[in-house]
Amino acid sequence: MYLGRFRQGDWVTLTFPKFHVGSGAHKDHLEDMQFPRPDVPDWSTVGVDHSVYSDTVFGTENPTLSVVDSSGNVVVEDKRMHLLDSAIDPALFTVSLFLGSDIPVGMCVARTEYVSKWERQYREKWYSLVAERTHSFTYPFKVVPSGDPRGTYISSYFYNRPHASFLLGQYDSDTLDFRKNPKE
Amino acid sequence: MASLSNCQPPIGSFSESNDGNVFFARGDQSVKRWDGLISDFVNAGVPAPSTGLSMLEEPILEGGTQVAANIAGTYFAYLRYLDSRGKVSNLSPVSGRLSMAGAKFGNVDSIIRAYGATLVNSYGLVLTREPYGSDDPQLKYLIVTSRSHGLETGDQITFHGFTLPGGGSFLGNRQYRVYVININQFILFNSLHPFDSTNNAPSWFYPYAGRATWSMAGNGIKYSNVEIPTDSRVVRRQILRNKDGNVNTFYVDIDDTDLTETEFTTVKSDTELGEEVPLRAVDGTDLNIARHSEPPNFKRVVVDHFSRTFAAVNLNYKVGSAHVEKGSTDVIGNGTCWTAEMESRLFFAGDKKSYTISSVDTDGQQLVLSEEYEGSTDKTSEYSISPEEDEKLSIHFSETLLPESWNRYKVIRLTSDPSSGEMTGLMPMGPRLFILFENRISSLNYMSDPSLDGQVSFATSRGCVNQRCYIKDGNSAYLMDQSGIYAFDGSQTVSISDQIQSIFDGTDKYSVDWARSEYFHATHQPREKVIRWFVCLGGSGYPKHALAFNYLVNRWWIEEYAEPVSSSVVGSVSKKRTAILCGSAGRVFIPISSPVDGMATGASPVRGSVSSATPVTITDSSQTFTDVVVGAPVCISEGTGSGQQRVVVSVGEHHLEVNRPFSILPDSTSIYQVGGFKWEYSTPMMRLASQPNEKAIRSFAMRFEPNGEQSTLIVRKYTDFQDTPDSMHYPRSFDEGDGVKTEASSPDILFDMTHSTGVLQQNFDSTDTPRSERNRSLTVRLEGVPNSEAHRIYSLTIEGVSGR
Repeated sequence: MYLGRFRQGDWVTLTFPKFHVGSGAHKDHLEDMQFPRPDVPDWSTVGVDHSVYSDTVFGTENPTLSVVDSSGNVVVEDKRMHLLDSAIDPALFTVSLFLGSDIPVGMCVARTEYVSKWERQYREKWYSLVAERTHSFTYPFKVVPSGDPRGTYISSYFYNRPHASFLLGQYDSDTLDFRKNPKE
Repeated sequence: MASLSNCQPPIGSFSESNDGNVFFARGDQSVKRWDGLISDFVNAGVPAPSTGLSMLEEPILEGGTQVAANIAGTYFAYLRYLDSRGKVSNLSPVSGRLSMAGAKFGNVDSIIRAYGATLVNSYGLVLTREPYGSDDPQLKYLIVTSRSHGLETGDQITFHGFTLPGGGSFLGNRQYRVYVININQFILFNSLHPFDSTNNAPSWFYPYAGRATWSMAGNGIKYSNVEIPTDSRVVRRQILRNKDGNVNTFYVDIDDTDLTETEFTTVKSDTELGEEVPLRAVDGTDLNIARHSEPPNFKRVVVDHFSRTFAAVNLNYKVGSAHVEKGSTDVIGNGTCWTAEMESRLFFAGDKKSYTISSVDTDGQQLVLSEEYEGSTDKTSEYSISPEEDEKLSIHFSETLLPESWNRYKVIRLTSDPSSGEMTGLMPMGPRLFILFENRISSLNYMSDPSLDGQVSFATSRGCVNQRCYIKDGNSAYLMDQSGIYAFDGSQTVSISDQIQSIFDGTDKYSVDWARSEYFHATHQPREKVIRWFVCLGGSGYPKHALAFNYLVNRWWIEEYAEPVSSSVVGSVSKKRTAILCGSAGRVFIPISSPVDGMATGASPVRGSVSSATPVTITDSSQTFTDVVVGAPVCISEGTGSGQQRVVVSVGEHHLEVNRPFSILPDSTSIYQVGGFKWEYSTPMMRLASQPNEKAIRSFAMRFEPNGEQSTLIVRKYTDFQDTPDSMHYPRSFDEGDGVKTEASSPDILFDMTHSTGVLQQNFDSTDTPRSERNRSLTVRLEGVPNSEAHRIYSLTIEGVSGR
């Protein structure tokens, strides 16, 4: 999914879409609710086994985000995503990515990834099958010129001193700086 | 890979103190200061040592000889740090008590030489009986009688005043170690002492005139466990010691700038101690022990009020999620930016119980809790980190004239009011400091010390959204809360936003997004008498709209900006007070300084016709663009796609690249304006004044100041409650229309703003019919994009209407 055009200094927020849930997936445990629903195989083709008690599919770790620039350099690596809102079912993960100086102008691709695991319970005993899968999704976006890796002002102050006056600013890149007033 | 910002930081606040420093607080890190001269912001205050000193009485040797000292009494000591400006820290914990005897003195009443019995002293020296039958003693010792000498075995004394017969220096005036026999006598431990050389013949008594004295030097003090500072602000350490009998005043005993040693010694007597440091005021308050604490790092609002700086509004940190494990003290953050300053704060997660944070690993974004987590394991738990519960309604303040010295024990704690909502800020106004809540304002009055004589009282049942949403003007203020905007004179409130109340209520199509209210802010344009509240309307992350209020004429309007205006201040530019708007990409704007928006200083606005366009470019083959227009908005002012505004992100020789694709692709009919912003005005809906079946003359006329540069204005007519404007029936050029241009089937009526008469008119002829569904009302809307000159409109005249 193309994310759009951004400038350096912008924040890009990615969220996991709502995933398809296979027919055999259960949400027996609270933990299941906290993981994204993986794109599971069609459980109906697994075959009928009357000894099977239940199937459970869940992610093994929080999803991560990586970003690759147009030169193939990994400019963001395995940044963990977090839960956006526990009230959303199925769970929705999100990550906010700041486009700092590390992310060059041009096309980039964000890639989210997580691993899901399929476990099948045979009566009283857990038995792990081979169904551990890596799920990834790509989100191209373009970084256009004219940005500033300091980001956006979120707080400012006019500071007047005998020798000069300054504009003090806090940016959303977690930067604090001052700029001398050129018209004083 | 360079570090990246992981999450948006808490919004901080600035405050300027009376010593000229500016302070910045945000609640998740130390308060910063800057003085306009140093190269960068630094942490305010001076950190205090955390461990107390150890003191030990000990002989102080120099070159193997004990240094004479006379330190007698009961002593305590503190350690403190100083920064490069001489600002001091709080004191360390106090050392243990040390009692010292000091120097001793006495007279030598008599002295005899004796061949002694075998004695074994505690120093391993054996005094033996002389060999049997020999007159030459191998070991001799002296018995000195000195009444009430007060010495102890092992003490080292020095004789003074022994003289040779006939005068002259006598080697016996030197140091000896003593063995105490009784309270009046002691033995000297020197087997071949100089006294022997004065007596060729053995004698039981020395020639002695009874004028000699002895003295014993006192020990010095050894300070150990002296903490080495790790903070770069600290450039000096001082060890403070009291004088015997007074623990209210300490003195600088050791002054160290090396910062590497952990042990120091001193032989300074009480009279030799240096600079005094009073610890207690007359009321018994331990001033220097607690008064120099660093500013509280958990408050995100600081303001200066007279000679003190106040801090309020806790940071409740909730960014990201937390991975908690039942039975574990470890917590892992996802999408968090936990800081070291969050140590000792409270962690809340799913089980609603609070846990004290023992440590924070900022690199790994992990917390260690003081006890095992009792709730259910949750890899993505919502959580919050906040200061201790009793800090929820606390207000801290600095010492008078010492904005970096905060006494942690002087705190104002407010009474909880469930209706007040969260504390949002502080507003100094006159002699009072107003404490802002979401739905209440309280007033703090004090004379000298807020913790002693401060009184907090209810002021009004209105509140304020945040610290940046009030504007003071003299002795009154204009504030915004979720109910609207109001004026406040310190006791009375007057609502002033009734004209736009639906925006606050959420009943208007443009409604304030209160979920983004932490980013709202206000600024004042003093010369124009305009206050703007920048708010989020319609989903923008940062404010892109301003609710503008002219308090001189009591009128409101709404402004929309091409880019976010995420912060603002009032400052001085070219010696004039003006609002300064701060936005994205580090850009700063001065409102009303130019008819165009967002142009770099010295750049000229560009207006032209679109030759061709793509979704993200417009080409004008007649123009050559340069980089000075990068960052400026570009607006389609006429023709296809008019009203669209984008930001120029790059230029080619003949084209502009914009930040976002056009929704309606411009074509050769389109006029673009670089630096242009679109303004709109709508008349009220007016009733058609006509008699049925009569031809009514209705027209719209405008008086304006003609522009020198090409510029047009669009007029559209709306009938009744129609959303779409009425289309014109006939094409007409500017020449044919005396400065007014229309196209058939187009609703746009173009007014040539360069028309020299300064008056343009368009007829809206229509005929009333007797049918019940006849047209009944009319609205005229104007839309313009100024070029290099402002659109100055003096009057609008609509004929054939009768008002509402």
